Amino acid sequence: MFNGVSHLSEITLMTKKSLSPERFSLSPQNSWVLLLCQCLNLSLLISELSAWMLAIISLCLCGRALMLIKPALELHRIIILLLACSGCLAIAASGRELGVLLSMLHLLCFAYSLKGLELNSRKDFYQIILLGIFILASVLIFSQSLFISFLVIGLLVLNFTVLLAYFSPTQSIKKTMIKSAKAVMQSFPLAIVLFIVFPRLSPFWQVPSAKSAQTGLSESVTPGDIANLARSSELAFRVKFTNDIPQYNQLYWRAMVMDDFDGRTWQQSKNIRLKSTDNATKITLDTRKLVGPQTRYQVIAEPSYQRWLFSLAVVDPKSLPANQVNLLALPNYTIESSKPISQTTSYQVTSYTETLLNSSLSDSERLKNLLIPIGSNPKLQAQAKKLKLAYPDEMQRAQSILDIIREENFYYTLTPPLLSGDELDHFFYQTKKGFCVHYASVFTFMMRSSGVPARLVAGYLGGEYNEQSGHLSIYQYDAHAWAEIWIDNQGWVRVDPTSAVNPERIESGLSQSLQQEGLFNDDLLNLHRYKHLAWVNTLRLQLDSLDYQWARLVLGYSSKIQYDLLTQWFGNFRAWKIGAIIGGALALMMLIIWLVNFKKSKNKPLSKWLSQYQQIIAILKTKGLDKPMNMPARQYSDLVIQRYPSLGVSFIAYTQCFEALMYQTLTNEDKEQRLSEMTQYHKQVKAQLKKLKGKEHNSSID
Amino acid sequence: MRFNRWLKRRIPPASMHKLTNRNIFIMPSRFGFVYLIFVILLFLLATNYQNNIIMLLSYLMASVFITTMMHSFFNVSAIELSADKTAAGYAKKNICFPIKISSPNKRLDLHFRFDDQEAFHLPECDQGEQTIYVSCRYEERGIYYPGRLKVWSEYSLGLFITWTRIDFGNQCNVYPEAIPLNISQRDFSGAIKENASVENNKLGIDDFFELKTHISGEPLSRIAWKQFARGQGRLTKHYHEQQGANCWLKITDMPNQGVEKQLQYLCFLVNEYHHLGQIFGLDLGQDKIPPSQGEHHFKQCLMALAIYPK
Repeated sequence: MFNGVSHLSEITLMTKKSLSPERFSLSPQNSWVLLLCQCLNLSLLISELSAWMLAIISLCLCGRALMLIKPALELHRIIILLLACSGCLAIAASGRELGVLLSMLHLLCFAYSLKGLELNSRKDFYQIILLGIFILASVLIFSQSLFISFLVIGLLVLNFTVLLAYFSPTQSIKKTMIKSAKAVMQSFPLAIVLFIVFPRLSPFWQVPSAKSAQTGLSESVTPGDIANLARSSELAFRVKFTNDIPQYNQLYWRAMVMDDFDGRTWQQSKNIRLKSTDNATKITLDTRKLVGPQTRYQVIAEPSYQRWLFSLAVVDPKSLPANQVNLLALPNYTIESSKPISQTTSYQVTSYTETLLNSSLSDSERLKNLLIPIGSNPKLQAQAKKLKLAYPDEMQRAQSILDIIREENFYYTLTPPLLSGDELDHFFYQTKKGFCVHYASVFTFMMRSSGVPARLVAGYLGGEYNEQSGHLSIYQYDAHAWAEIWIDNQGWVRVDPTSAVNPERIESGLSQSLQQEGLFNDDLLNLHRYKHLAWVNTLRLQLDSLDYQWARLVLGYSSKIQYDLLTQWFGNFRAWKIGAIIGGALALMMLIIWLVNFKKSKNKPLSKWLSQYQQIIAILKTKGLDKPMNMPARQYSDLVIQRYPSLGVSFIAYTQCFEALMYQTLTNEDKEQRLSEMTQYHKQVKAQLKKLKGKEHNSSID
Repeated sequence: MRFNRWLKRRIPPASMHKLTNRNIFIMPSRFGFVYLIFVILLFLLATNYQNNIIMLLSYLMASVFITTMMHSFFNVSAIELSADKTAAGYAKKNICFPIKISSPNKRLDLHFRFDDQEAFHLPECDQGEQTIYVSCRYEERGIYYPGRLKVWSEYSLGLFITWTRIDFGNQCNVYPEAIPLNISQRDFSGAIKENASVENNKLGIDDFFELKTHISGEPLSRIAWKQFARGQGRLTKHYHEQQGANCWLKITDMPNQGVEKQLQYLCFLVNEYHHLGQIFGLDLGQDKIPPSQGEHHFKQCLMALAIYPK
């Protein structure tokens, strides 16, 4: 038939093809990015998932990859169903062992990886994106460090990229990613304002908390065990002092008191918490006389999944209630939280470090702190009795034990030999190699057998000072154990037997000796390993300082701090003020995006050649040669030449240049050349058209 | 209905529309609402765990919602759309409405649709002008007003549907479906019999009359290719008989199978004759179009078939 219709019908076919029944499909490239995104999202949870779940997940992901490589391959619904059922059964079966939170996490990850196998509709696609973001959020339950947080934000951008790529299939993934990163960046200011001013609520209901393996100090100490704690360079907590930092050898961070000894193992006595709720002990706590200068400090504790917290003795009980976490002061001068510490927690306390630990010692307490199992470590007991006769004064007796440790051939090591039989006897008279726990337990045992109430205190000693932010970082290798003996009129007196064998440990820390023993051998990437390299150390301290600021400003931002801050900024606290701030931030953000986009759509004129071409067309239109919308440029040029044969050569060349620039992908050089050619022809055509105008004018006069 | 009336006041018919905040509407899509619920869920999670980072994440996602709204708006705004007054085509076939889009910069994921018609998806709209064809399909002949063109986009994250319904006030002429006549039917119809001489002479070389300069619109089949190849330009062959032949396509000559069927046969014949470059007239009883040829005549005949009273 005639040309026009066939041209149209071709387009009709195209239209039909592009929209025929709304079948969901992702471009192959986007599918791969989605798969990558899934893998990365899940990889953040690798340490939380059990091995069998990881196996199932990788099976699902491999299945998805296979489907992408061979599109003809379609997994049967029954296989997917079978996989889903078996996975759910496995999770249900191990639910008891995993606990609520981890079971739910397993289920989430399983659903997420399974969903990839049946992406049949838009709904599935949206679900998989939201599940992915939910997985990112759950990663943050387990860790909130700066590094992980940035990783999560990065992956959020990737998740949005997948979503965005679905709506812009013609764009390259790189461009799409830049776009989604921009969108997230543009959203940050409002998010930060919301974070600062939006009211914080208290938890609505109890949620299952992360029950990870408990880290840090253990609740019991057996000197016969090999120290494995001291090797870890994991962060335990950070401290920022409001005033001057006390001397290193005064930084005895108390975590728990172990007064129960069975001959092998030291542990906290069981009834300690019951007592703290007693009225009598409460009164003794309140009536403690606090003297001397006060030391105020903020502690940011890393999750230990334990209840005890760190403080310097003696803590002012009045400084405890002002904190976000519920803190309790125990009669043994330690503090603990009402719940296990499962995420980074910050609290502020005041201590009076010069106050004596002399709240009265009840008879039952005295008995407990004198208790030694009958017949255990007979050699030590015998020597203690001798010392008792030689030194009637308790302090002198303690000093004499320290002298023995100092003068005899004792050796401080983190890899002591295993002990057997009467372990303390074995250590004291034969191996003579041990670390803080060995010395502290021998000392405590001897004091007890000589009739002085004594106990073991576990905690941390010292800390690494970071000059950049002025805080102390206390690592797990700073863990320490020391002894306390009861002296009438003075109360509990701290004695650190380790100082007798290794004074360096007390004065400046463990790490030098650790380096000599090369104990950070478990992790090559550990920056603590390279402390002797100056630049690595500076870098490590910088990272530490950054992480500290993150923990202090972001993780430590509580409703109390929020209240203080807002009152300081805006006077008294009013709901409408908060509303106004949020509204203002919203308006500002919208305005900025508006301006950016407005500029973009205004400042970008049509490319030169396109506007030139349109100019020519406009001139021709005045001569009655309109270019219908659907007419190709070449056809139009035929039309023009038919009418104005004199334009001939230059107009054809002009059209050719235009088509090349419009429809062909050219290298930059080619483009330049074409552009200059086109400009040249443009001038020619324009000049010729002007001439034509003159002629027409003349002829009309004739 | 009330909405349509309001829309008519808000966006009156015009041949050219520029999309601005006056005629663009933004609504969260279903996914948008689900997303919001998800953000609230995250907020609850953060509050219950007293987890500041998850809280920050939920705030961030809430702000992304707002940012996306802005991006959705800017993806559609400042586009200029214009359309021809009329489009024409056959019943039961897709009729394409050319719509000219001029965009100041690159836009993505645009959809176009006339009410109750198929949608056209334009994944990428480049800077500058371009023409798209939005299809309409009608089952019966006649003159239709396709109504408002809905333009929408779910860019950037599918959280919002940014849409507008613009009225070009255009019309769509729908000709009857062309149904071929069998030879036997033709014989019985008598339409051909009357013009038997034409049938015989139509292709006869003897009756060749003259060569004229080719005029755009003349069928390609009659271009004198030999002369063209010799470099004498495009010439069209004209035949002697055509000058005087009086060929009438009469509705009464069509097989008596109802008016619609007759019109459909006529439509086919009109096409056929035009294609062959035949001079013909159309006799629809009251409405008569004298014999002639060319594009204009052809359109006139088809139009007459389209508006023939039902």
